[in-house]
Amino acid sequence: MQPYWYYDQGTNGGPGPDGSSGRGEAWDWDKRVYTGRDLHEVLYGGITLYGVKAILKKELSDHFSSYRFIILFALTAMVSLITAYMVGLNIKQNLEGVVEPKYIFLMLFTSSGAGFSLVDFVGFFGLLIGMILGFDTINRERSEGSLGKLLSQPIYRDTVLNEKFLAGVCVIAVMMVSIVLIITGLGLSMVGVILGIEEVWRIVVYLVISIVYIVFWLGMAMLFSILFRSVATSALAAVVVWIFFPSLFFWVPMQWLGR
Amino acid sequence: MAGAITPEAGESNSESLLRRARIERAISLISPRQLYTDATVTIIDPMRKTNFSFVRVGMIEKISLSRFSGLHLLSQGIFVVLPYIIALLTITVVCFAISYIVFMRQEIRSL
Repeated sequence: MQPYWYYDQGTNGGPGPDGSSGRGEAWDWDKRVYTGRDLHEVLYGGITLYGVKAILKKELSDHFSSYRFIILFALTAMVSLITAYMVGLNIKQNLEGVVEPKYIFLMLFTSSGAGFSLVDFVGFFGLLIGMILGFDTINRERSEGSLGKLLSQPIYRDTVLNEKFLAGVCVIAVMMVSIVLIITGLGLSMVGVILGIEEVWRIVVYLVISIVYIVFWLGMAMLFSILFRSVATSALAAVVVWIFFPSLFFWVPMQWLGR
Repeated sequence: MAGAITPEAGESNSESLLRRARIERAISLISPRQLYTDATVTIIDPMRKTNFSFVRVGMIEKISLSRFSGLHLLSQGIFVVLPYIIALLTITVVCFAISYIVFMRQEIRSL
């Protein structure tokens, strides 16, 4: 029962049949226990955010300090820089004598230097980036036995998954933005064309689409790492997708049609 | 598959060729990489008005052509590629949702 000094405030029409005040309060007066949501949940609109920052920080520092990320970043940056450099030389040669060309800067991304253009390279290599970053996300924790320890802390299971995904997205975004910025700077100094606002927006949209594309492969790699319990199996699945995905959906129908 | 759909595959009139090309393209759209290429090429190449053409032109022709043909604006380009972007986002979200559901239902305490 309620104590004598507790009176109903009359917002929802008086006490209910079970003796509660009718306002959905969290304190059970009979059992003397708190039955409602805690302050944390109330403050965050019903979604608890325990350990979100900690896991995100840990994942990000794991990614950025690993040799895997460094090698991947170096490889991507080198190949795209070399491609952009060759394309820049090409453009510079071709542009002599052309009066007031338009959108030269974007050709840095679309025209091919050493057999492939930058857009092709990201299309081909983005798959690999996503797969390499994600293929052992859940797997490794499980085989090291740290997943159980992690989840015995007051952390929700979906928080772990979400934060791992979010950390991957952050890493990919940092990688792509830095590479595109470096290429833009290289192109500015090589070709010597002023960058218009329209071109900047185009590059930004291109960047967003590329990040979404790579994040898709990250998601697929994480799915593999959840489905297969051993790291080797999920790595193998990633390799299979890498080798056969374009051929499966493009070359096989083409060959078949070409008969 | 496309050969079965178009019975006049052996013929070489332009209409059947076009139809075959369209079906080929529809098949290749299953691949995320194709989606990505189509989406980005239209955005980043202002000479492109559609994301699919038969004829390829070299760079110097492109530069000289650009003075005669109107370039499309970015807003129009985004309008053209919006379905591709939405498709990419959708497959990403679906992929994550599947892994989320599988992970939430898995037994993790036992190794």
